[in-house]
Amino acid sequence: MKLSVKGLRRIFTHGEESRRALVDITLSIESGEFVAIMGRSGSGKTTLLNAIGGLDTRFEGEVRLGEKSLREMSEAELASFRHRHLGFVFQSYNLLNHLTVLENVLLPSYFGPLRDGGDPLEVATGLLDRVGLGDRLRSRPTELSGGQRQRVAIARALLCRPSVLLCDEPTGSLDRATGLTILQLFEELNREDEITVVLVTHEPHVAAVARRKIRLDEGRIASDQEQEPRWPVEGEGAPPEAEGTP
Amino acid sequence: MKLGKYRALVGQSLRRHRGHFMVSSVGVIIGVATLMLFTGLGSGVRQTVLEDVFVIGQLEVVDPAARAGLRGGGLLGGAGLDDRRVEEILELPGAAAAFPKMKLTFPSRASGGGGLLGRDLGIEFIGDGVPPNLIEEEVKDALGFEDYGAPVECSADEDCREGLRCGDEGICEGKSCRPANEDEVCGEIAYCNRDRGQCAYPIPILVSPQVLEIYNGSVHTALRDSQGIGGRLPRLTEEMLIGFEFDIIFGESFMGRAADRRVQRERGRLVGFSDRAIQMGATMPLGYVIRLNEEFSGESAGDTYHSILVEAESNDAVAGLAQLLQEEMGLELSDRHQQAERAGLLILLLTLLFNLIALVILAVAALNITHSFSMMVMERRQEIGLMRALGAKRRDIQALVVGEATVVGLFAGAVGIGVGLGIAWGVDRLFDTQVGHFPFKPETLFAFSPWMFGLGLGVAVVFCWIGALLPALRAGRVEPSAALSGR
Repeated sequence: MKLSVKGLRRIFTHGEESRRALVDITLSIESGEFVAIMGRSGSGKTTLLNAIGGLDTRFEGEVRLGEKSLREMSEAELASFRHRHLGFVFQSYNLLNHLTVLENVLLPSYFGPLRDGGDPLEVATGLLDRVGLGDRLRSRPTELSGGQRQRVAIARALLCRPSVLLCDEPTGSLDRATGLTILQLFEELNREDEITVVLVTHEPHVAAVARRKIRLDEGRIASDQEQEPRWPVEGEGAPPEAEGTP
Repeated sequence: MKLGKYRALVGQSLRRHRGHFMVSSVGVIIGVATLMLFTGLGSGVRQTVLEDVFVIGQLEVVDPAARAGLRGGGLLGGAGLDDRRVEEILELPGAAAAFPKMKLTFPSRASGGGGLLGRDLGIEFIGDGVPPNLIEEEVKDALGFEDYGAPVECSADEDCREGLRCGDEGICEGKSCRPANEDEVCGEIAYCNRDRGQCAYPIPILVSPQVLEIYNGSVHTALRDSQGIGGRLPRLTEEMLIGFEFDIIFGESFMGRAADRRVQRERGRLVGFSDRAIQMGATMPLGYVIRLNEEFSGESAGDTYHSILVEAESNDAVAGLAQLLQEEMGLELSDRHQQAERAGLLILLLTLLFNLIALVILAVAALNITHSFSMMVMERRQEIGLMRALGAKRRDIQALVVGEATVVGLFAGAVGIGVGLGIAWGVDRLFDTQVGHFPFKPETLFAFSPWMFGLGLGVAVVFCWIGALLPALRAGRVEPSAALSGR
């Protein structure tokens, strides 16, 4: 699914003060790309991701996902579109601690059927197997390490087989080694499942694994370039086996 | 969102916030308990007053002309109460049955009670007659409620009842007897009438249960500690009195005698208690009264009735029927019906007033629910934002909050109903043990109907919905981007 943004502006107002978070952003992301959006804190990365994901529609300009313009969709259509086509991964995982790992992954299925009509339980257990948590279905999120929680969040994002995975600082709460395993998972999903991955980060070594890097500075695109993915060399990070336990 | 998934989400939320929900439901429980208690009390009191004291399902009509002293009523336009009038009344919409009633029109007295009281007592005898088929169900004595005095044609003794023989004119009449051979000649039910020296059947008598209520609640209570015979008066039950026999002296009372100074002594036997019986007096089969009136007051005294008892098809039909009887037939309702209407209105107003208190409590409870649910929505803002990001629509989130309110309402309603019933049971026990007997003292002060349980649950759910409405709207308006970023 092609993603295109044209003349995107977003202004936050607080009382009489207003701040321009995004200024005339125009870009396009082809289906199957692995894009990193990076920039300093406050540069507008998350705001751009929210606009692309339809989580925030109070912007000017146009955001199109495939043939559909987000602004032309009703609230219910937008919710349904998010459910069917988009997966979200957040820095703080956003898991519900009163639910089990399996129930967390199944959560999107409460709001509609899976895109391919599959059995949610079967798909969820398969995804948890894939992210290495097949033996933790009944665990609560509080019993898991940070990396394991983020993998649960990724499994949840993948349940409806989205076309686009939108990740907001997905390694921000993880140590470098654990973050690396998560990035490897994104790379695998992008390569094997052809899912478009849009990853927001402020960490250069995370942005380095993407094939395209868009740098934001004060709400504007400072640079947009394709790159050869560069994975940390030996010694830069701990091996995946070293991932922490709770 | 599918119903099964919706139920699961609501269930998860309720389990997680059970403390919050319990606190939210306290006000509703109190409100529903109060509502149940007062509705049940109003219904119970209404039932006692309108079904036992006034019997509102029945209307007694009188001819206004006859009431004014003009028997036959020609001058005031009334046509008198006769069988034709009974037929006309039966054709009115809402009328289930109509029974003519006739009063004794000459003085009489009753004497007896030695077996129960230790000494015979004498009282004025006020009586009326009703058709036997009016009271069939309430008769509990073997004698039944039949007109044994009605002429029965015969050709042989076998055609007559036990104790009677076929007379010279082909009509059954009592066999000759003496008190000494009463059982042998007259059989089990008939007795030997000493004045006539003939076997006769006792006159079946019905009494209003109100007479017994007034005796037990007032006379017995007032006299039980007194000296003399009053102090020995027992508390009476219907079972004790069924089959009780006493003498009736027609044509003579403590106040005066019949015009021709004739006296006729008969035996009466109490065969049952009925709301349709005369309020203060004794009711017998209509045939006896017609014959006695003709005999003591003249031939025309048996031609017209004094009143007609009209039974409505339901309590709801009473008002319309009363209007037709008055406006279309020119009849007058007895004072009792007007008293019943006033009493019913008063009870209704009191019930509404008390229920208003319950509704105020429920309104306060709804405010409490608004507060609790608002707090919960604020606490769960990030969770709601996540759900929105994962595909939940605004109405899904609103439905989730409303679903939680529904469960709280059903829970609080059920507990409130239980609490209300429990308090009612306690009040009944106190009422039974701490309050002495009085006329028409009911076994229970409360009357609960299935619709009241529906009302309790319905009101609880509706007030929870009202309370949760604003928080649900707020929850639906949560912006996912703002909620997820903690803004």
